[in-house]
Amino acid sequence: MSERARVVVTGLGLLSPFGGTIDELWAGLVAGRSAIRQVPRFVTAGLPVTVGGAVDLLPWDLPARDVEMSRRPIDDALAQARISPERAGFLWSTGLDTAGPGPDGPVQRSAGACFSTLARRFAHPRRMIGAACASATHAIGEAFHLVRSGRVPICVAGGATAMLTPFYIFGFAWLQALALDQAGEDPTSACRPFDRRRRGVALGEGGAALVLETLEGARARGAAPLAEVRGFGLSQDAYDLNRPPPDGLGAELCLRRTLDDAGCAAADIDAVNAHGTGTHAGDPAEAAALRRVFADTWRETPVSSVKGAIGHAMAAAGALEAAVAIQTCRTGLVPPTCNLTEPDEDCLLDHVLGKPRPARTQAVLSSSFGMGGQNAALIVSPPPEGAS
Amino acid sequence: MTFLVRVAEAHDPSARDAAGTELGRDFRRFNLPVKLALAAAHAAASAARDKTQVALVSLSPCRPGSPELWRATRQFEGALHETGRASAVRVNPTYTLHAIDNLALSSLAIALGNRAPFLGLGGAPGQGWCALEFVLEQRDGYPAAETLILAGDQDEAGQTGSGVALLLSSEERPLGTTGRTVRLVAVERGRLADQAPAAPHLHAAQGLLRWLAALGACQRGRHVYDVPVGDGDGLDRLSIISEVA
Repeated sequence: MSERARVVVTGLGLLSPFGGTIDELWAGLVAGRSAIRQVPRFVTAGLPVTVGGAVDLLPWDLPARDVEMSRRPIDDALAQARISPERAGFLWSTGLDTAGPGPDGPVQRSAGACFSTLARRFAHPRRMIGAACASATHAIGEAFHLVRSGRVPICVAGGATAMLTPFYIFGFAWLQALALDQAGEDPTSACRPFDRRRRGVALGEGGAALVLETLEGARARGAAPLAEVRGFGLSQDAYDLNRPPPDGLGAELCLRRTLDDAGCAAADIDAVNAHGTGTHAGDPAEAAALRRVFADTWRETPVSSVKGAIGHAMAAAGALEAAVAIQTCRTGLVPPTCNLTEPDEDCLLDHVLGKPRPARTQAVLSSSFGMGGQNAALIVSPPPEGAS
Repeated sequence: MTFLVRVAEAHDPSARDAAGTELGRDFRRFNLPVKLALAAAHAAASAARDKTQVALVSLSPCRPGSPELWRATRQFEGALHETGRASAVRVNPTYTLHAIDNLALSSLAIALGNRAPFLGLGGAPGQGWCALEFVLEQRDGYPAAETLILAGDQDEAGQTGSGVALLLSSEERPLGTTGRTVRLVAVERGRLADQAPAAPHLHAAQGLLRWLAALGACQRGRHVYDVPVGDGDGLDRLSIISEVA
């Protein structure tokens, strides 16, 4: 096998319910705050779920809001990396079709057309990734492999979605995936990953973009790496369209492949950014997979999920979480899982509760387990010494 | 080396329903492009050495949804636009599935018992050629000797469509019963000269089907297929290079 290049992240841009920078997102997470709140237009519409993780920086009636949700993180990432798009490949997820405001009523917004609009200014490869909630992790991982193998020098990867719409609130509520409103409940505690009282997903939106390139290339042009990507793995559950196998077998396979790809042992992983959506079926399956993979170390490997704080941004979730994993590496802090106060017995892990935990963070695992059974995971580390 | 060893198409509603009996009870709930992609994939997968280890490369429909979903969406969004309230609209939850991008991939993986690494491509025009490039890359992390590409399209009304599946292998084998060996050599790209990008067709399967038709009609030897601009991504001119023996 030919020698693999080391791959670093030199640009990062994002939009989250906490704001338009990683610093705003990080400040919210380490403070244990939730950005999930009541969405007034959902209340007016009489929806069964009126809360979500909305990106208020983009007004909901903004024309081409779906494109803008991608464009801003991408431009910020490119600016930080000091790269022009025509030098970079593009692996991106734009989620599912949505409806947006038009002059005479709602108009359909095609996710494929959104991708095509964004892809125009990039070099080849330009791949739209579609794997439900695992899409953005899948996109970043594909970009990582392309750069590591030397096929592409620089890639922009990640995803964005503007799916926090009445239709998807209805649609996912029909599929029994969402935490329905409960009288008297604080909207910020709608989503409780791994908690005994968890009731389902809080839908979110946002986007995040990473610029990936070889360490050698970054050094040559004087770019400062933010992190190193070490490994990527994929698997499928092959089990059911709506729920994972209770034993988390597909997730376990994905995590083991990711470790193999990175040349890591489970004991080398210092922290886990979990998928942790707050569903009855998903959280215990994920916990079971993590306990088996971290057989000897699961009691002392800190695990946290961001979805209690920002909701589930579906096709963008993995990119936002990769950004959080990078920040974990950079700060040596593992953020707490917002709204997790009573870990379920079925979800036993070394959960980070209440406040951030200082930790060795030389290797952080970030995972996404999509509805339908597509699983993807990444391992990120601080940049190599002397690279920054 | 990458060889095209089986191709399957699906257009006929009765064929897709027959395939459904082996693709599980959920099949009847799916939308047309997903049914057609699955019916074709089911046929092509029968030639795989090990169905559980084939790398699945699935293209999401460029035109997702179904007549039922589109009607429900119009009703829902219309009510919201006119009255500000949508709570009175009743929609069958099944229709939500018709919007999902990975439905065919998930369903096929379940049917085949396949947990292998995969590639899920989204519903932008021209991604079918990316699927071929992916197979040619033969990269780390995708050790599978065989890859199955599947895609489905539907027309604007959701009444007719096409599904296609291609089984590719690193092992030299003839293409189905044709007696010919088809080696996929390269996908060549260059930026279209036209400054205003051409609007491509909304297709996931149609472009691949036209290439396969040209391949089926060609003489033995090197075959260069120049992808019609409308079958591309609107940005690149593409040529698919094959060796037919």
